[in-house]
Amino acid sequence: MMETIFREVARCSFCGFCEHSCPTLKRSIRHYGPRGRVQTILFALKYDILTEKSIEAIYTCLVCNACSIHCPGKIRIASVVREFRKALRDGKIKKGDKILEEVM
Amino acid sequence: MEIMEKIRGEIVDTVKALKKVVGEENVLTDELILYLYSKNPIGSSGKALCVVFPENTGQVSEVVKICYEKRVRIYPQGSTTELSGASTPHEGVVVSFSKMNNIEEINVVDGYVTAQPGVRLSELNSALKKYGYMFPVDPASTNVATVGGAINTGAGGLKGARYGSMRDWVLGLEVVLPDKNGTVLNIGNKTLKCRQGYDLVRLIVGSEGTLALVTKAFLKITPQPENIVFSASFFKSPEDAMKAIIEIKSRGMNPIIMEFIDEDVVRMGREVMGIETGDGHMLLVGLDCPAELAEKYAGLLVDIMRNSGATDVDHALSERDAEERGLIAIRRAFYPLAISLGTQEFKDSTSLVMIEDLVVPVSRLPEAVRIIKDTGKKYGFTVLTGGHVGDGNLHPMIWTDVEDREMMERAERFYLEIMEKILEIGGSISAEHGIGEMKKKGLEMEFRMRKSEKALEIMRQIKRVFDPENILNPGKVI
Repeated sequence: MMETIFREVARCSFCGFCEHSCPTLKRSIRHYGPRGRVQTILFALKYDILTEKSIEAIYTCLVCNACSIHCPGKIRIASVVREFRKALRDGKIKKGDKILEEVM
Repeated sequence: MEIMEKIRGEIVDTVKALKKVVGEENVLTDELILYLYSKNPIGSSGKALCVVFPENTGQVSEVVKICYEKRVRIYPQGSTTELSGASTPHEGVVVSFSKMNNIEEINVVDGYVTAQPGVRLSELNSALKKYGYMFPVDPASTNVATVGGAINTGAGGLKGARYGSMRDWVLGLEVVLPDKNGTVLNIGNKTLKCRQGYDLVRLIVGSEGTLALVTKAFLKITPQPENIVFSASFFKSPEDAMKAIIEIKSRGMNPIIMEFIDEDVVRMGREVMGIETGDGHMLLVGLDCPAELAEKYAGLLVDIMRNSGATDVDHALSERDAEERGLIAIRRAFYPLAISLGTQEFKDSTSLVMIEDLVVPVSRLPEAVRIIKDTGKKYGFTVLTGGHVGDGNLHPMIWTDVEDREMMERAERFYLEIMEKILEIGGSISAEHGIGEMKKKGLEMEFRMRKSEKALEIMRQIKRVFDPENILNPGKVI
């Protein structure tokens, strides 16, 4: 599953075309939008970067999928967020248990 | 080691001081956030020390004062959709304008709108639509691009042939200078005409965040066209498409949209993305007209296309009609197609779509397309080419594997050679994406070829006047 998630998020070109449709972004901070969330997952899987803000990013997503239609790379953004949440819960993400425990 | 500790100590002090000015919640140092604000869409990334979200001009000025005192670098950012690396931070404070996002005034009678830098262009247009007006600069990223970002990039877009680029639409600016006092300047005016000595407004437009921080803009607005008719035509060669462009220009017609899409994009759009389309090089023309004359104007476009050698012509009587019947689909698929092809080819690594931005005299477009295609073959790349041909602006794209160093170097050589050849036929190395970090060599090449290297020295002197300590977005443009 982790490989599938990685392949999906690795397609992100950081173009930001997905952002305007996101109800949680409200123009404030990047991790509350789909580009930020896809990159959060990428950073977690590629560089083991998982912080309090990563959890905020992943768990504030409404999984409404409004963003995916605008993604030129056709990333299944909502699905990836859901799958990443599951991976966190299942303890498959490095540092995931510790951060989840601290934050939630 | 001691030096590193000293630097860390200074960063901690800076963050503390910034928090006092803009509030704890508006200064972030979380590792993830730093990464998110260090990356860009051209496949590179830098390093932010912290990200600050000021909420008004006073706070921007105070942020600048702190950074000036500590000689900490400042990197202003909009939505980071630029394609030249102009927004990438390198060991400095990122100033994000995402919380300065108000449209302060819409004045139809006087013909302007007052907007903060974090307003997205699409939001600006939604607000103006209620009055039957629009802000016509529409880069592909218009849904996410911000007013501040568009000003600093000198953005253009699909409607560039008719409406020009940002430099034609900024009437006045409020800016904060990177000096000891964080000086706030008001330059230009809300009026449609204004002669204030040297034109500082247009110096800031396109300066890529290297001269001042834009905190407010007075932008010119224009009525929305009543109706736009479209033709989508397919030609055997770019030269045939050029015949149609010449005919349109010779008849004194001034289309709002005139887009060229090369035959590879058309074919792959059909094969890879399943878009129903004709065959050959495509020319998409959008012409504004009164709704009751739509049939007449569309018929005129169809005749011009057929007489110029188009093998297949379709038309639509309105923008909605064009969208619904898929005439614009292939144009919209231009960028997604390259991403799709890249991810298919480099399944096991990270692919990167590299988009160039070149401009040539309109009459030299067929030659430019040939140059791009042939040079692509020489370096082993399939090049997808399209662009806003009404103003001679082309955007050749290739897709690469970021982790393949040889391929990335080859891509750089490919683009340098294209730039050189485009300069030889009277073009310029950037029309609307800017220089940033990516095209500094190209800019040098352009002035060298024009025997005007002194221009670069003048630019360096201007930079020193605005930013004597070189703390504002250093290392970009020049």
